[in-house]
Amino acid sequence: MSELRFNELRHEHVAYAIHRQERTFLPSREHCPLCPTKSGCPPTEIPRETFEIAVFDNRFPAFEQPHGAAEVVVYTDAHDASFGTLAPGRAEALMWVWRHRYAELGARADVDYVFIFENRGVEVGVTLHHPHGQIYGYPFLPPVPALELAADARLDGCAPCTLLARELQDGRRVLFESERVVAYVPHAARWPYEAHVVVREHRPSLLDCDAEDLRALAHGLQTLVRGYDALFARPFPYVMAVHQAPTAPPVGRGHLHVELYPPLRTAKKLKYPAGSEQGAGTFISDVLPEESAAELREAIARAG
Amino acid sequence: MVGKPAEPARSDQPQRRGRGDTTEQDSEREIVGPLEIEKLSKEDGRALILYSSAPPPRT
Repeated sequence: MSELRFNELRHEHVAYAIHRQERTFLPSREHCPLCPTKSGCPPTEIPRETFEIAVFDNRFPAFEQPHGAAEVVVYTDAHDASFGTLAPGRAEALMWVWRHRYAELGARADVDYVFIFENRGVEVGVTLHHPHGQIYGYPFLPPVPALELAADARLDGCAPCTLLARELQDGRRVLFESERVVAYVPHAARWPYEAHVVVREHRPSLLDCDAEDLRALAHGLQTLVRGYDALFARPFPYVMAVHQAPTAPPVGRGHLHVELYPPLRTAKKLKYPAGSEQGAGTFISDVLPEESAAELREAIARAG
Repeated sequence: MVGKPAEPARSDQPQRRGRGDTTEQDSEREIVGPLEIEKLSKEDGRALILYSSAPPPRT
């Protein structure tokens, strides 16, 4: 059972989930709990010999009913795959899974915000290598989406719509665009190779997307992640964060977009959130977004 | 949802249920978009949902 405390000084919640200290930590592939269950062997988390996409309640939840949710989303039964190497149809199916989980978790009275994310790489704290993401159902509106909603008021409308228009007009940081989605390094990126994939039309959530939107979103995300892997010719760690409308008031506010925060600043060097970032809340970056956007465009072209 | 006025429900928004309610049963199948969904319960009570490519609709 987790405990939620409120930090008055920072005006933010902190969740204490001390049972998570015992969670499985970088097991060998023979003991991967996300692999399919082999005949004659003890069951893994998924008691089938094959599967496409599986979702289950996290065995070590940060949030759980009746105070939220924590789910694991396993992208494939192939241990050595990654989001970027999924077949396009599987990536598209994953968007439908996200949409379904958003609807079901968001319908719960104890979930105010459905947060879909992926941590990739030990550099961002991954404890299981099998390709997977997670979903937290927060029993409150977390600070980052709250800040984004507050930006709406400052920009006199949908902030992501306004910022997308600015990026398209400027053009220097745009990585690629299609009829449905645009990817760019934001004007004030915190991370050296941070990028956002934004649904071009104003869609508050995955539920507002049609099949073409979901297909384009999957394609856009895979294009970016493959470009990341090509950038330094190595698996590129990142945090992938899906931002969309809260499922409690203000319901319907927000604009679906996916933010990726890679911690690498070179092939072998990490950007650490340190004194200025943690103590003062101001990121210091070694790379200009226009320069990293140019590098990423080349890498995306190389990745094909 | 604490202490905030309710907004009018939209048909395309999640329909909220009572705190603690669940929809899961031991095994339940449904179709969502291109996916067939099988809902199961693990021995320890945790939910497991398997998503598979749905069979093409009959013509």
